[in-house]
Amino acid sequence: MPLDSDVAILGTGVASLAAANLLISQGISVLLLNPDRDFFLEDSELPLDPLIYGKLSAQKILRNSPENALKFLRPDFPGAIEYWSGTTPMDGYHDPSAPHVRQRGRLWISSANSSVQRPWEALEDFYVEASDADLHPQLFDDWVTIQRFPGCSSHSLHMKGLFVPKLCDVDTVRYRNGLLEFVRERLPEEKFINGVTQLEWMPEGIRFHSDGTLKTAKLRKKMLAFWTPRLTPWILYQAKTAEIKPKLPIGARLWEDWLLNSREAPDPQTIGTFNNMIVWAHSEGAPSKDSPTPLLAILRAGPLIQLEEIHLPKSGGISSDSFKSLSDLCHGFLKWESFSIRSLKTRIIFEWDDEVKWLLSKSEPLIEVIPACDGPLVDVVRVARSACEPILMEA
Amino acid sequence: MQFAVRDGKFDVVIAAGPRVEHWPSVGVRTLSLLCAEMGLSVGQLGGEALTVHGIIPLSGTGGLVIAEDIQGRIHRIHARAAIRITPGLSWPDPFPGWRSQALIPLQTAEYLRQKSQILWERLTVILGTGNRALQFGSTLLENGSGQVLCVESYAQWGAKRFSGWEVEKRHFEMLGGKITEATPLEVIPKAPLLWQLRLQDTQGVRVLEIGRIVSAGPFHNSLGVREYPPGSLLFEFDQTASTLMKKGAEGWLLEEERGRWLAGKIVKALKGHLGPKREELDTLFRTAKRKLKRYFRHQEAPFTPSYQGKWIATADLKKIKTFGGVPQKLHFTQPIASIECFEEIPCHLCETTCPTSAIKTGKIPRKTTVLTETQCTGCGLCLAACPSRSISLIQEQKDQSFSKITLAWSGPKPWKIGEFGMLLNRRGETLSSGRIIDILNPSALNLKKKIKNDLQKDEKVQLLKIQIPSHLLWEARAIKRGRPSESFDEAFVASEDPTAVKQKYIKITLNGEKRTVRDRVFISVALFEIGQSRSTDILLCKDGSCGLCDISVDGLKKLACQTKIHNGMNIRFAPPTHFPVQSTLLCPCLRISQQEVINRLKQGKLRSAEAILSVTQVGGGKCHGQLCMDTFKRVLLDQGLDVSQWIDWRFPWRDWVLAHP
Repeated sequence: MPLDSDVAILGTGVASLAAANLLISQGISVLLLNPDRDFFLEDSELPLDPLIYGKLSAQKILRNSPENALKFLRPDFPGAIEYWSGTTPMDGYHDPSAPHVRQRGRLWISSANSSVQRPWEALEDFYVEASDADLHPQLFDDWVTIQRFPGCSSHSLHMKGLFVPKLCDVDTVRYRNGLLEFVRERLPEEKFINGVTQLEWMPEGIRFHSDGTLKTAKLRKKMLAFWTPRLTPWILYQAKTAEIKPKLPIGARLWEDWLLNSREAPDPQTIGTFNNMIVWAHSEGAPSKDSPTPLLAILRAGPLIQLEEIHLPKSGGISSDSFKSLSDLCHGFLKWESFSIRSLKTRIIFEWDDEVKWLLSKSEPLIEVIPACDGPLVDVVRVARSACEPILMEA
Repeated sequence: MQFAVRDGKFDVVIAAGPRVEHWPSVGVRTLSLLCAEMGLSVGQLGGEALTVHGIIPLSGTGGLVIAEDIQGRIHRIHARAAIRITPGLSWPDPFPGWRSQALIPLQTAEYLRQKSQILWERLTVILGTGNRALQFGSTLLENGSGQVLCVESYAQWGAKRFSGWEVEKRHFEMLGGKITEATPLEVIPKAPLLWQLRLQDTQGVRVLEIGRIVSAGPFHNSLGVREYPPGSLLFEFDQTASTLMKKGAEGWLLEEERGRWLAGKIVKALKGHLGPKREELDTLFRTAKRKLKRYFRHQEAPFTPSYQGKWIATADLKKIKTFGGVPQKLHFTQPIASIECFEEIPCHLCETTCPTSAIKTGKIPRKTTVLTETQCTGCGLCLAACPSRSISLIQEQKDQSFSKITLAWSGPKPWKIGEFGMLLNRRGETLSSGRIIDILNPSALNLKKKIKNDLQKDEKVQLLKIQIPSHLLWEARAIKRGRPSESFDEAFVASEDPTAVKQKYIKITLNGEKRTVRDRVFISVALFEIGQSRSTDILLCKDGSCGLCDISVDGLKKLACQTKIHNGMNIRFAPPTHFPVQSTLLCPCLRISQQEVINRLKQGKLRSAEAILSVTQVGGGKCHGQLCMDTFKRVLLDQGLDVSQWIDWRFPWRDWVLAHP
């Protein structure tokens, strides 16, 4: 049968593509299934680690260093990944369609007279830890340094800040596109299937509908289901059908991705954190201060909602709190008289207490659910790789 | 609290998208009314008091509609079904120079024509030959424009034969307009307000010196309602109706039917148990669907007369004379309406206007036009009401050299009794001369108040009673002045009607240079008139939604389309002032070419609009896709992607400015 494979991979996002790429490259036959029409509808991969919630630690920072990102991303990626080290504008940019890792400093701002921002004491504690780990952090309270904050133009700020020079962000769209092109080329067309519906398992394999026809495939090893927000209804339905208690995430965090027209060209070398917002200069390719239309990207962490609330209006985002946060940032901190919104996207990303794999079937074939396939791209690729490791070992 | 968001909830929200021309239009009213009658709560969000910024789709069905009221308060309204009303833009396929200021969309052209007569003196080329294109061409010609050429450059010739097309074509040609099949190759600027257009037709390359290109195509052969994602109850609804039914009957009626059809669909989805109303709704839904299908069915022209030289062939003339709307007997003794509207079109304005019920067009779309001669009083109201000038009053005087015909006429320079004019046949060819012997004023008649109001709202229509040679009674159907009409006699018109063209001219400073412009017009209009418009001014959106026409006025940033000019104004263009003139850029804001989109699509074997948007960012610029989305969708369709139902739900629809509260 043409669809018979060692492993079936079910997913809507980068994790399933990364896993397929890894397994194909090791000679394992793969059947890639996507319930969506294509891989561009999933929008739960972040270009960077927000580093907002939880205690800041040197270990977390190290995980988000450019070296670490490249260590995870480069071996699995079937092409060049550009690296911008933040020195000269075009440094490291050779192929405009290749994904890039951009080294940027991270700046946490704390106001002396505000209670809502990250407590200054916590930042000071982190400063000590980061110094011990040779991360070269800087503490400051002068406006010259605070002016590094993207979009900041005020001279009379009474703020304190912590700056860590070497973190990074990753171009998720080009990374996904590169993987997708490669997997499409390497996988026979009939084994790369979008728009899969009514997927169910049968002895030794699976059956599903695609393009209006019923298809069956025997699986020699197992099926991996990479749990992203768009796959949630299918996972929960299958768990209910198979009478298996799913291991659920703590909740779903609503993220708002704002793009504002910046009054002046923001500093591309720094990613700022202000309250629950991460702020950086938006650019395609090599960052430049000379962009004719400077844009400021803001990633705002919204409320944590329960899984069953995903379909409710609150999951649409844009609440009073959103505008209050934006106003605090633009009017209060950046001292703009007005701000202009270019775009807003909302995305839902799960938060996990325990990222443990679990089985969705009680009998053969084994269907393994891989949690935490959303969030920072580097983590997503790491999860995909670790999900494949047992299969590779076995092979 | 700063920027407090007020939450609301409706079953159905109808939201005005950018550039909606009037609110609420007939389709919106129909849709709201029917949904409300079926027990759904309906919110109409739009108009001057409420600006809708966008719809955020929810997982499952429905969406969040985000709006801002006139006091700056933000409203977040949960809608189980949401409809965006959009007027659409008709852009051509890209060719070098299409992004220059020479080419303007039809909506902008219609607006400029109302605001300024100055711009239409030279040859105007209209890309497109649909009903609206021909209507606009006819309006230009009626108002004294020199020449108008409609160019069909898109699909096969027969594709535009929708309801009423033949009528519009006849009207356009009767006024002297020309229609040709050709492909635009290039537009090159020659001088202010003068461009060179190169067209490729079957004979070779034609070079035309033109004053303006109006983009009015291609013709959309679609229902005008899209739902995306399928089953999400998020719709886009095309606004095709004008403010008055007379300004485009088929657009008006189509929108009304579309409203009925969509109401049926939404009610069925949202209301589980309709009880006895179920049957009523089903009937309504089925009827609307049937009518919509019929409107969009390509129609073979029922009757296009053939000519021998300038004269209609004998057999065809016989057909005209025996047509059911044409008088058979009584026109030998008195003036009788001759309704030469041979096509099955939904328009029934003549029937509703006739005070004696002499005209019965039947159900819409009608099968035939029937005139009851004995009931016709020859009042001429139907002439004034017919937007396509398909009706005339004829009085044939047997055995006499001269007969009488009454024609409706509108234009800036009214006729006077005793004047001579050139008589034209149904193709706009000159036949002979005729003398105006009387001018009727239909609004002076003792009429129903509604009819009278409609007539007064209309342009100044004159009913010209003309003495013509008897042998031309069945040939002549239009009149024009012997002198070339492009010499728009401003002084004469001013003497006839002091309010018509009396304009005050003032001095302004434009980029450091002194300029003379008309007073009290919007800056964009003034820039168009003095040949200083930029390619970023082309949308001229009444709501300022595209935000492209940034300008510095006395040191303050303003939108040229929203700011009226005054004496001594100091205007500076904010860079960048122009899109590259000779480019074929698809998305000019982000400098993305059509080829780039096609290359990305082919390289990645991308199969959806979202995929292409995520890798190219088309439409993510300042105008939020208003300049490129129509063409972008067409490019994808040409490449074999099924995006006919796709809707770009990116939020917001326009840049949203929030000032410090």
